[in-house]
Amino acid sequence: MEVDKGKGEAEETRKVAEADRDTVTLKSSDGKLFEVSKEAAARLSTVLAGMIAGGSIDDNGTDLKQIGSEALENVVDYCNKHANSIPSAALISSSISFNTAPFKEPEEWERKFVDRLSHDALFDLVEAANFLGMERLLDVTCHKISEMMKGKSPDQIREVFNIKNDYTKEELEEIRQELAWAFYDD
Amino acid sequence: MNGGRKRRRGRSKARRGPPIHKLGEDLLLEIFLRLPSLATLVRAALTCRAWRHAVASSPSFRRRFRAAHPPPLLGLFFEPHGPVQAPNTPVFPSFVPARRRDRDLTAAFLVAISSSPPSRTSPTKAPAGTSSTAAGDASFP
Repeated sequence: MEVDKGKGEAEETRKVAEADRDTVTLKSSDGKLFEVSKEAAARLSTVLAGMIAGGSIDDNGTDLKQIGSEALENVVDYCNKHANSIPSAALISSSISFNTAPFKEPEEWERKFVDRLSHDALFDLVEAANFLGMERLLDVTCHKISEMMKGKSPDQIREVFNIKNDYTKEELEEIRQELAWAFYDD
Repeated sequence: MNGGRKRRRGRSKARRGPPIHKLGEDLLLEIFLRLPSLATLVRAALTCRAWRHAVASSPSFRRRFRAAHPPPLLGLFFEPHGPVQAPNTPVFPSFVPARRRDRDLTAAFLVAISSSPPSRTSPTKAPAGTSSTAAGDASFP
């Protein structure tokens, strides 16, 4: 089924051409194996694209020592959902213009995808996306975390993330007076 | 196949702090970049010293934050590229507010974002006075 896509799109044909498999096997830091569509992996992750193009993919499981199984499972899950639900072109161009354009809002399915994650899983996924050069996934996960801070006071933000306040009372009082606007505007 | 149960090092809050602190500064700033407003950014920076430090210590983050939160909301920055700067402007980037009342906002922004290291006892006072004058008056026609 991946073959059709490969034929349709010149760029992907190149990547998929010489390989006889249309999936790659990834191995987490704790030794678990996951399969993901080669096309999706190459499209969504610059690091995996480089490995695929460079022939450094191991059929027995490409070692990703920085990524635990829970995060890798989420990465693979994201790639699969992505492959099934979205035409790639728009997203790819949106992540290239990343630095200047406002961020593209997550799609509905992407919201659902990150909403179900625990904090731990979400932070691990941010790290994994960063490590694998998955700009869109990094965007979606970071956006989710930023939403947890939106419209909240410093106290509320601390509560959400279980952060200890290490400012002194005097400092905070002073800051509160100086930056009163920041506690009400939004 | 998905028994990732033991991979919970972030859970040891007592020992290593809250899970979000395992993210490096770069990734934390990626998150901050997506905050909807300057006010939210300031509040985030005020939750703990580490976060404030992350914001205060990265000029490239400030550039990107400005780019992602366009001028109509706040005003414009002039990067102090040495000689271009007027002699009476401070070491902070100059900021031209879009609205009058944003003079205060400007001062606060400069304080929150580019001021002294968080370890100082009164990190806000001195720069606030200087910058509100300079950014509001000196560099605005």
